Amino acid sequence: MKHDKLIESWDKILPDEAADARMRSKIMAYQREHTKKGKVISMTKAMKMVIPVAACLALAVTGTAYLGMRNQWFGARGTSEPQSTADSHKTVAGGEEAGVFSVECFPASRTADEVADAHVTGVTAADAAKLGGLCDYLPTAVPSGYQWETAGLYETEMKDGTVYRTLKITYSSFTAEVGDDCASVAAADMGGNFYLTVSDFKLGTGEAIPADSVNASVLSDKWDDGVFCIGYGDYYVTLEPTSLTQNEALTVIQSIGK
Amino acid sequence: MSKSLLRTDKEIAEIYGRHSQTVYRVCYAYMKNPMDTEDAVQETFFRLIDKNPVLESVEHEKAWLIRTATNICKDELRHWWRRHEDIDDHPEIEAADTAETDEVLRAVTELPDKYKTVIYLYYYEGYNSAEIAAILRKPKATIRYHLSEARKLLKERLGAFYET
Repeated sequence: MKHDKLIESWDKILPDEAADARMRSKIMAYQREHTKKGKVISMTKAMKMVIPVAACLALAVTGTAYLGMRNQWFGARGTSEPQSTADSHKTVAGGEEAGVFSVECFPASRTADEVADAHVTGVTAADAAKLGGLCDYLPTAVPSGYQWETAGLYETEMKDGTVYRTLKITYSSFTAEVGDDCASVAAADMGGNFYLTVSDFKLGTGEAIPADSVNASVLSDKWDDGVFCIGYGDYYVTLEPTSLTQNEALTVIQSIGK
Repeated sequence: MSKSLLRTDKEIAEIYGRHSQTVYRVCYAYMKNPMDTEDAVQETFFRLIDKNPVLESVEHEKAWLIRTATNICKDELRHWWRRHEDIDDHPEIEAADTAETDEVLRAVTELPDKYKTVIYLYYYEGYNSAEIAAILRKPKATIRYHLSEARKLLKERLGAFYET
């Protein structure tokens, strides 16, 4: 293959200006929040301190290890306990992680062999309001400060013509715009976020809670799960509260379909 | 040492400026759509801020970000709302088409996960197999094998185009 063609293809993969600004803003705001917790000094300066200390430590460790091996301070060779093999359960033949789909979403009762096509489209709140079926299960109230940030509509068409749709929305209370010069970073606040999906099939989460059973007590019992799937007949809403309180999550859920 | 060694805003902004496109492309190879790629890129830089690793050079910085981005994408693909399947068994499934992708890029994004970063680093970034092995912390022989297998797959999938 001509390398130029591959390079040309990769060159096209870039965030658009809005996405780049969004990522930069969030990263700089996160940095600002993080540095509030500790005094910052330049890494360049830090390296000047770290390198001599690291060199001394390395020398000390190497010396101890050498003497230890010579004098069998740590026991004779070949008698140590075997290392844990817990991590090996995560690998498949070839020692690599199994791959997973990044675009295709379909019920557990179907298989990947049945998939004909899959794609994902970015949608605005206005677009989502026009999505027949799914739009009936969008929350009409979100906690103060939160707003629709990004959303994607995942559509998977099976060979038998069935189409499965999942709308995944990120809500965020982050609003600050940060300039390239970082000067406006001080005003930025990371805020919080939560994720909500509406799908016309049940996603791979735990048991769905029937919509009419959702109340503060049920939510409290399942809070540690971190994800709630609520069943509305043929549709399902899944909420990952992340930074929401239980009351805020309940407010979101109770506003669905209202 | 009583002082924390956090990077300054300026340093983080500079690192973002230097490597955001590389991180974006690595993440895109896994996520195959702009929305999830954006999340993965942010998460990669959040982790840089959280972990605050000591990175001795621009190349070391880039290697750390590529490795971290790859791990974040793999973790993200195991998120609760995705079905876990082995994509290696289903090369026929098409990638997302929301970005301007072409036949060559689609063939790359459809490669098994373990080959994607290697192919990107080799062809686009111009690293040799020894350098890729160092970046990804894998044996050189593994990288050479992955490159060879990935080329075979690209040849199969791109047919005559691969030969030109």
